[in-house]
Amino acid sequence: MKIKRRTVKRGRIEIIPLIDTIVILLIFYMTFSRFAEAQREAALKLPESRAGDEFKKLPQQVIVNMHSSEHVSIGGVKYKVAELPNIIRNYYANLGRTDPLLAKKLKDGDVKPSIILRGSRDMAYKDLSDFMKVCAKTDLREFLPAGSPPGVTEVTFTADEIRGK
Amino acid sequence: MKLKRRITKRGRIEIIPLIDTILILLIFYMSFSSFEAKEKRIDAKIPLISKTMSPGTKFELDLTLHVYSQSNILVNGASYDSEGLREQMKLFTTTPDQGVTVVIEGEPDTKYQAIISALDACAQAKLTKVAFRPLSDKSAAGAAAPAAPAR
Repeated sequence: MKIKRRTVKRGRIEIIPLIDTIVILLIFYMTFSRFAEAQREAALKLPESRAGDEFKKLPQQVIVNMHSSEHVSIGGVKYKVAELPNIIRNYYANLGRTDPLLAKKLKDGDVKPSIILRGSRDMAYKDLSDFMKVCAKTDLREFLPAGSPPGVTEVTFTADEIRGK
Repeated sequence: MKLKRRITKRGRIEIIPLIDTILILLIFYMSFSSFEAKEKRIDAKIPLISKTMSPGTKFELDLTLHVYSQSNILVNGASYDSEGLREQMKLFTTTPDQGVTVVIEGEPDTKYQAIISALDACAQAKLTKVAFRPLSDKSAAGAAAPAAPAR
């Protein structure tokens, strides 16, 4: 009797499920990397403008999402505008631990502390005025070169690009 | 000998891969359509903020924009909308002196969009020295603000 030889199935990579998986992973990472990049609150309705450069966050910049004086968020945590001086001071104080090189650049005056304001288009000038007063009040002199003025003096405003025309 | 007829396979659309593809395209466009509006940055340095804290402080070559609303921005006693303001601001950049400092001020209830429109007009006219005059504590508390002039 002839014994039938057992057929060994050779393992192979299935191409189509592999492509499906890669595309889904690609979409996933492309989508969420944008949120992780800049602590930007997607729900905030920004004002619109024509002018301006491409949005870019520098390492020394703090992003402040502002709905009103009573509702400000940084890194997903909600605060009141009056609490900002302490939060901003803590951010720059912690730089010595988290990014000593950047802390040194600040101390040498190579970079300046700066805030990116992402304000809601519906907030009022009173809210913006409160924010500016807080910027002036935030004393960061101990992290800056001697003789630096007190307060944060650089603010970057962000807006959505007006499309068309 | 009877010849076996060659069987011709009829082409057909595979439904399941088609559904997969459509679904993936749908997810892709849904994800990225919301990012179509590009976020822009307008830099403003506010070195004058401590001086502007006191209302009425004057600067050399300053130009005050008093923003009531997007369609009512007061410059040198004349009212403009955001489009008209852009043209007006361009006149200042054509002058040889580039040292114009624009001071933006508003009413307590002026919308932030209107303030950004004024800032946008300055940025388009390449006027980069911009400062904001915060509200005095009196007007922020809701004291009688000057009435908006009729356009």
